[in-house]
Amino acid sequence: MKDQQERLNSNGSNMYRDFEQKMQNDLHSQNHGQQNVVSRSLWQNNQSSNHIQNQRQQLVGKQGTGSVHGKTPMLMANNDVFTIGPYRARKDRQRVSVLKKYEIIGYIAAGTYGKVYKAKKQGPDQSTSSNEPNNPGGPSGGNTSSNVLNNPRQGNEVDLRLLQNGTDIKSNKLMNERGSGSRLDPKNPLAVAPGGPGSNIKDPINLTIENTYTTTAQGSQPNANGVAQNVTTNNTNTSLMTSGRTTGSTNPVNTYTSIKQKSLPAYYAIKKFKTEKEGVEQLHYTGISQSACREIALCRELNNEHLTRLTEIFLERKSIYLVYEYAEHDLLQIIHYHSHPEKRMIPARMVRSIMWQILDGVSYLHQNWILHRDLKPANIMVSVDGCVKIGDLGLARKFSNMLQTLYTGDKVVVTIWYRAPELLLGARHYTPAIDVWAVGCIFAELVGLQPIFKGEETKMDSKKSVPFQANQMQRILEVLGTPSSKNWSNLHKYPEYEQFLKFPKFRNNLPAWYHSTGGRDKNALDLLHKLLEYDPIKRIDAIDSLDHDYFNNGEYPVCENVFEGLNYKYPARRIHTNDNDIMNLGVHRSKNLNPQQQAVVNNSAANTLGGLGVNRRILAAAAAAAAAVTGSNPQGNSRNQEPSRKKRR
Amino acid sequence: MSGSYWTSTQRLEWQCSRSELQRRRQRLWRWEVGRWPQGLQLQSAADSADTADTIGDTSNDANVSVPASAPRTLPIHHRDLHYDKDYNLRIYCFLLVMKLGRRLNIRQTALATAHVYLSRFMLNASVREANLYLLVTTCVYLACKVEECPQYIRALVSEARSIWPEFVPPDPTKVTEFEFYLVEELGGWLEVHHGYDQIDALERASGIALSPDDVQQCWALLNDSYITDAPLVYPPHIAAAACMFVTLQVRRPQAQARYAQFLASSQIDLEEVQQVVQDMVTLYDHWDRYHEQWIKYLLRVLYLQKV
Repeated sequence: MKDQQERLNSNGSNMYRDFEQKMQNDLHSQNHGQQNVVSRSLWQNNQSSNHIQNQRQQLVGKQGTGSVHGKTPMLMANNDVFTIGPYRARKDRQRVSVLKKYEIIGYIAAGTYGKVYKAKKQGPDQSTSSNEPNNPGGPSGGNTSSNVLNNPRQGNEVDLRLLQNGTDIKSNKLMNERGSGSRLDPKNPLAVAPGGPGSNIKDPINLTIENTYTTTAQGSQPNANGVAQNVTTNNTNTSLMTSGRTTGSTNPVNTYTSIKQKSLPAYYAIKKFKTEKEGVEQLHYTGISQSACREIALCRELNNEHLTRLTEIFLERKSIYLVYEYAEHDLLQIIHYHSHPEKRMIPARMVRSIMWQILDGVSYLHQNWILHRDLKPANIMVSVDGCVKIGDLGLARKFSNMLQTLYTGDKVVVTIWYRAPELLLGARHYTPAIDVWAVGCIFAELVGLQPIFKGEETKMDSKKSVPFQANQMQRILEVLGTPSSKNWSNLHKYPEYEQFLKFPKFRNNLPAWYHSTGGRDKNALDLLHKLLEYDPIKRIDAIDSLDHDYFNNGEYPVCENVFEGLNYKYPARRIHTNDNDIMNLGVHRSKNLNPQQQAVVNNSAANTLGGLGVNRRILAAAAAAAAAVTGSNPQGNSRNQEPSRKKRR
Repeated sequence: MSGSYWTSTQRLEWQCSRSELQRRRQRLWRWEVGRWPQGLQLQSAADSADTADTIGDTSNDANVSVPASAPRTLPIHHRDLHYDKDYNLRIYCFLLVMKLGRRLNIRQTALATAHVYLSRFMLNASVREANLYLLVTTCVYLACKVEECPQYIRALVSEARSIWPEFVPPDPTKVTEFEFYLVEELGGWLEVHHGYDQIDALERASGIALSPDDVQQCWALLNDSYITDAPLVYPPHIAAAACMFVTLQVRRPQAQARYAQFLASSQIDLEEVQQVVQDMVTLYDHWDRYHEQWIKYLLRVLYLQKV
């Protein structure tokens, strides 16, 4: 077995070399060797994967060599068949690392989905410092593209200009920009000229190649060594990305840079999706989860000031990094601030502005045929200048042109306390009204400073059927009274109607509840009634609610800045700096040095790949919520999750 | 925005003019020529005795007729295997997507999305860089996720492997790896609008009732339009209008006058509709000379040749 492996490996690399030699002259193949140094440390490319294979023989051929493979006698492809080797090599050369562009300050939230880091855009100084050691003498100094790299300040200025002009460009339609062949074309990495607008319309791919030749010719052995040393000592791959070979490096930046901002926010929130094993760079691509896929596809498409804006996406080292604009506060945090150590009402005018902005964002989502399905205070951010941002679209989905029913995709949606009664009664087809109910719950929580329906979640049983959430239903009935077919015409048609009939009858206590919280605004009560209407058909929709008297007849008008008139400030987010290793580089390095100590990671891809059915995130969040209610103390600093409520309340 | 095509990223980020398309493809072409100047070494006659006939047949590309005995080279300058120039390849790609989709009963909308991903990818990458069969599998996998009808990756890979055993590796992480690179190449802009709904809208707006057969015909044409550049260049309703035009022309000529009148009075860009119709005609012209064996042979040589 081992012999076979080794034969295979040596075979593979030989073939690869032959393959390369066939294509390029000697110079280039020398350069190829150099690139392997790079890839070994960075991307677990060809050689390094062979290296790993030697360590873990049971995973035969899991990491392809990317080279052309001979026909197997059976004509069945094995894992060494040609896949995307050359393409991967080209893209990996061009990619700019997230670490290159952002400086990680610390993480602000962690949960089942992964972690959210607070980050700052890398300043020019940092680029310079990381740039210099790798660019000895600027091997390809005459080249326009390398000018950008040697002179990062210039590159950054271009970026800034891009951001400032952003609004105009968008409104003028990008089509026009494209026609002029300027580098503003965000979708054409090949067309982007690296040296600034119009200065160089040469083919960047060609440039990359020419550049590669140059580097090899001039850099020769010492240079290659220098790079190699840098890899091992620096332990960040940012340095590598700046070297002369990565000519195209400015391109992906433009590909992803959103040029929609009016001003340049200083901070960003980078969401990193959880990998299969914490602290270790992944060995396999485990696939983009449905929820990550939704978040990418939807956030990329949406553009509204009341939604968190996705500015960039990085897909590197088998992990996904989504860069969002940073929001200093969220409603969970604000509510907590007002309820500890003793209850202090949130100012009515602030509640009104917050509600209006939430409903504006929700109505935008609904007008774009998107259900959010996980609205809760923790997912509603507020920026430092008082603008409400709805976040976390990991459970959101389009409901236009549905190829599969809502229920088939996700059996359980919305965190238990904010789940609409029709969902509790087992509705298979539901409407945007479920989001409106959740907004109603948030409204009540802003007024009452604690969840209005704080039910206990019934755990899923072993059969994986969705249980009836009796306790949650009871909480709702206690406040809103028992609905009848008079105010909820289709009540008897729900799958869980039998269960529902078992409850005793309650009277509507919402006005009493409202007055007990100290509320006196009858318009607010009326809006609350309409948002928490039992019948989803009669429930007010987000657009209509924006015209409600509550927003029009208040003492103060609705403000763009929800903090307007406040004479105090909310505390900033807590930042955990104990784990800034967003890329797991430290571990990665030790792997290079000490491959023996590297734990063998099971091939758990089977568990994580393409899972369907019940959404794990929701289950985990719900389980945590239940734990919080029952009093067990959940672990972790999950800022974004319900358990954190437990600690505060 | 996913509610409207006009504010969608499909239009703002991924729609380009014809000349823009031409420029980008020219750039890719030049790069390919520089990257693989030696062309493609076709195998000697002994190796490919079974395919020798088919090679002789390829009269569709006039210059390909090479003596059947000597080892041959497919020069890089030939249109074959360049996605923008080679209709043979385009049609083949389309049929690959359809074949995989049909096997798994995937809805056409998802397949159309998959094909748009494929066309976008091919705008920036060469067939020679990445395994086309794996690309098709990956595009379908990703499109199914985005269109909310996800497929189990193992089922998908094993199905793809049963159709193209020589090309699709058994390891599903090859697909997930490719998915990463695909999403990156697409820039994360994954929502795609299609013209299928627009046919209904046109039917209603023009007042011409299509029979179910007509609608089928229209859909079939629209499916085929994904082979052309229409999805990259024009809004979806243009393709829909063009397909309806062709359908009426073929099946209900008497309604054509009314439809023409409707088009004339509508805001639909007639020049664009005409372009799409022209593209379709060109496509079918090429389809008459479609030579599956040849393209299969080329891809086999390309991906499986011993070096």
